[in-house]
Amino acid sequence: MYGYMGKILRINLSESSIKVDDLDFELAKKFVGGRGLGTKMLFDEIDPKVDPLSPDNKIIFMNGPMSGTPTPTGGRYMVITKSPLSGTIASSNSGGTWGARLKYAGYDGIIVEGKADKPVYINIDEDDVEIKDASHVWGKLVGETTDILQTDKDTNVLTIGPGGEKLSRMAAVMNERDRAAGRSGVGAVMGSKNLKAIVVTGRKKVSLYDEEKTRGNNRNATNKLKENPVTGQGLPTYGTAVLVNVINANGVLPTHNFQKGVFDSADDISGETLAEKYLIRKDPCHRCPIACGRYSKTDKVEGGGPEYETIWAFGADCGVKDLEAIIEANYWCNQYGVDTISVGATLAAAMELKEEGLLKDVDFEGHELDFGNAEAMVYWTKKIGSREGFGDKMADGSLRLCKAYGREALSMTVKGLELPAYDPRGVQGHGLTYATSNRGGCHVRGYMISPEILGLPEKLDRMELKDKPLWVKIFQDLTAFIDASGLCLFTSFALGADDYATIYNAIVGTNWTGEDVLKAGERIYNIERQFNLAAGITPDQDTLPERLLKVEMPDGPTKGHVHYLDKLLPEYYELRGWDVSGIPTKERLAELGLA
Amino acid sequence: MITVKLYAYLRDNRGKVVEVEYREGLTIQMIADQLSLDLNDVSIVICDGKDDIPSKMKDVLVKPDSLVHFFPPVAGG
Ligand code: SF4
Repeated sequence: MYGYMGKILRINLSESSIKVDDLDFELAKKFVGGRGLGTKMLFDEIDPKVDPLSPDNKIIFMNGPMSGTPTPTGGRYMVITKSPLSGTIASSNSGGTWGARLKYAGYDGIIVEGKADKPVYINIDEDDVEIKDASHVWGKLVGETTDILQTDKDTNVLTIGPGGEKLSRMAAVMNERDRAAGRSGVGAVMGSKNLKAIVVTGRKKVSLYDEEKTRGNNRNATNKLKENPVTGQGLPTYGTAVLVNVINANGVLPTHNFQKGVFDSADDISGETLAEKYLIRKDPCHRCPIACGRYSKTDKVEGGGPEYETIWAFGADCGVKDLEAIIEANYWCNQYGVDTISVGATLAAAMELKEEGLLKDVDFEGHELDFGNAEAMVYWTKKIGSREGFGDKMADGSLRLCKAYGREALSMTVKGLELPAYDPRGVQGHGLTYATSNRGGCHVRGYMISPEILGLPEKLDRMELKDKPLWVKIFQDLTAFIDASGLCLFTSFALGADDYATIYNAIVGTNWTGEDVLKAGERIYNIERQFNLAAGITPDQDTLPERLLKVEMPDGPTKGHVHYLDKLLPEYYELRGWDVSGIPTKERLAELGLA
Repeated sequence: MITVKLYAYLRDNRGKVVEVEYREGLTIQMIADQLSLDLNDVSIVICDGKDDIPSKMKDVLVKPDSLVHFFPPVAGG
């Protein structure tokens, strides 16, 4: 077995039992790893209707075959569970080194079941696996927990913060302090199991089918990444935050909870300003030549980030132009272990609720949640993390918050997950990916911004509808493979399906083509869909917030437009081989080996 | 006056915003030349809300009060 370690750890916290399962290699080849294999295992093992925060839900940490190999960016892992935020499949991706370290310890993944009767952490030192008392770190922030549990240079710490412990449905799983499997509330599932952390030490190697070919493939891939102006220059120099200005100039930077598409102070919070004033150094993930990660410092805090999405959520979406405050909010999200996108978007929703006069009963403790109030934005970010005061009410995300005040329409979510930093009224294909993403409002399930705004791999008219469903399907399928493989999605700015097939073949010993890569991605996309349908997530939830479908963009280059979902969705269903109501047909499922 | 906005490393030695005097027949290519900007280093041009790659935008005629953005290859997510 090449590329895989061949072992899955199964830990039942109710029974305090530890088992090692053999990896089913045929299953692994079919679902690749990470997002694919993890979803298949979860679907086989739990009732998709389960309460996500009950002991019957499981949480799976899964690597791909390329994690832990010398392939550039090969260090990513995924957290798969049923989401407590959306009720859909949750599969959150994270970088750093922890995923690769798990392979070096000898495991492709970990399945955690049940619930411990008191706070525990799992300590893995290759074959030595223990469930240990975590009372000394329970309640502590992510940084301090990491310091305490980090014992060796070959050790990596994955942990939740107080956000996960207190079951915030926006809680993240953090590793190496500030790398996050951020979305869908996966941290709350760990918290519900009384599982604080997983500490991994390992020094093994991943065996490769063809070492020499892999070396050559890695050289080629590294060269392509270096020569490509985006992965070789744009991302390394400015990080993801360089997007702020280009998205704003196109009039699709959601501002004041998606009320507008242009933020007048965009340059104040841009990647350029970040690089000029606050950037200390780059902060790359394991074996990554791109190094988009940032490490920033202000007078008050220093740490990893902020990323583009974070800057948008606490910046334009909350009307805040103070980049220092945004860096601070990012820091506290990482410390409390909560998702920056969902937290920022929930604050923005609260600001609009207040603007409408619906929060008159709320005690703001002197920190008024008004658009543009940077101090209050930071204050309430911390209170969400600690679930105190009005923060407790916001800690379960914008949909639950807005529903509680009778204004569900102000929640800018799809399937309960807060939308990220692009207004779909001006990027029609991207809007279709939001509506059809299996985990809800997400930008990294088919990043159509790439062709629609950035011109990669070719420039498409962002308002054009023709051919967009096909583009979306291909992007979604390719992304599903990349997420399953253990590589970073950002490699796709420079590499294509054929490149991934070549890399995969030399590592695993298969003979795949680019088409096989896309087919595997399609299989993964469909099994996620099947999980959601079985969980009761109906296709009528393949939609966007009413504001984006009915209210014309009021300003900027996208003025006068809405998102034209009804013109795109039928063709998308057809291309997917789903019936008119959005249910996968038996024929397509059989074709994909899922029937 | 035409307002030209530059981003990322295109700002080096040029600044963030440059004003260019309007004259009849002025194109995006001519503005780039005036700023010693090689359009090969530009990935996206936006002129008065219309965005496209430089080869499709270079012959666009600007208006006396046009707003033009030049972006180098950037990405994120
Ligand atoms: S490109 Fe950025 S996010 Fe991706 S692996 Fe490299 S540093 Fe991490």
